[in-house]
Amino acid sequence: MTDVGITIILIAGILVLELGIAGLVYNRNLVKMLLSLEVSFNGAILIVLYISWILFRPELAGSLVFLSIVLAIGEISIILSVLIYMFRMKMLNELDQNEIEGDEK
Amino acid sequence: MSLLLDVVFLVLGIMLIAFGALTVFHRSLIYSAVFLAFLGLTNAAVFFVLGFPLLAFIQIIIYVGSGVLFIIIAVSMLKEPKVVKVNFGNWAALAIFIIAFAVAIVVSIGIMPSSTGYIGIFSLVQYIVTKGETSVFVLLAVLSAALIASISIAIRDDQQ
Repeated sequence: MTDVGITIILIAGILVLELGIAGLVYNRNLVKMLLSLEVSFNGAILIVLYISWILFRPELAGSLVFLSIVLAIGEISIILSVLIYMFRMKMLNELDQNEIEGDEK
Repeated sequence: MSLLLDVVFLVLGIMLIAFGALTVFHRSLIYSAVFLAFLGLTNAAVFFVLGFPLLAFIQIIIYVGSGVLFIIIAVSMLKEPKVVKVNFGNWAALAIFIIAFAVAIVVSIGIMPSSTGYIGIFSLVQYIVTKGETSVFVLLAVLSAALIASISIAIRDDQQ
C-alpha cells in the first residue's frame, strides 16, 4: 500500500468536506445545515487521519479524532435542543415541514 | 494484496462521496439523517482498514448509535412524515452497502497496513492522559455544560 489508497482517502475526505461546506451554503433548512456540518466533520477527520499517516503519529490522530467525535455529539445535542425549543415556541414558523412531508415548496 | 487494498480504499472513497452527496442534497430530512448514518459507518470502515479499530467502534457506537439516531428521533418528533412507499431500489442500495461493508472488513483483516499498527485502548488512553489532560478537562467541562443546557432547554415549557 498504499500510497494510492491513502491518497484516495485524502481525495475522498477533501470532497466530503467540500460537499458539507456546499450543503451549508446551499441549504436553507436548519436541520439540513446541521447535517451538512456533520458531513464536513466526517471529511475533516479523514483528513486528520491522512495527516497522521504521513507523519507516522497514530496516537495523535487517534486521540484527536476520539475527542472530536465526542465534541460533535455535544454539538448535535445542543443545536437540536435549541431547534426543538424554537420550533415549539413558534420562533420558527416552519422547520421545512414541506420538505419533511415530501411535498414541493 | 496491495492492489486489493487499493481497490477497497477506492470503493470506500466512492461510497463516502456518494453518501455525503445524498446527505446534503436529498429532499427528505429523515433520509438525509439515514444517509449520514451510512456515511458514519463507511468512515468507521475506513478507520478499521487504516488500523484504528478502537476509533471504528467509537464511531459506530457513539456517533452513529447516539448522534444520528438522536437527529432522526428529534426530526421525527417535530412532524410526522408521510408513509413512503417501499422502493425496491432503496433496498437494493442498502443490500449493496451492507455487502460492501462486510467485504471490506473481511478483506482488511488479513492485509492491515503495518506502518501505523493497531491503536488499542491502552496506548490511546496513555497518550490522552499523559499528553492531553488539559484537553480532557476542557472536554469534560464542555460535555457537562452541553448536557445540562440541552436538558434544560428541552424541558423548558414557558410560553413567552
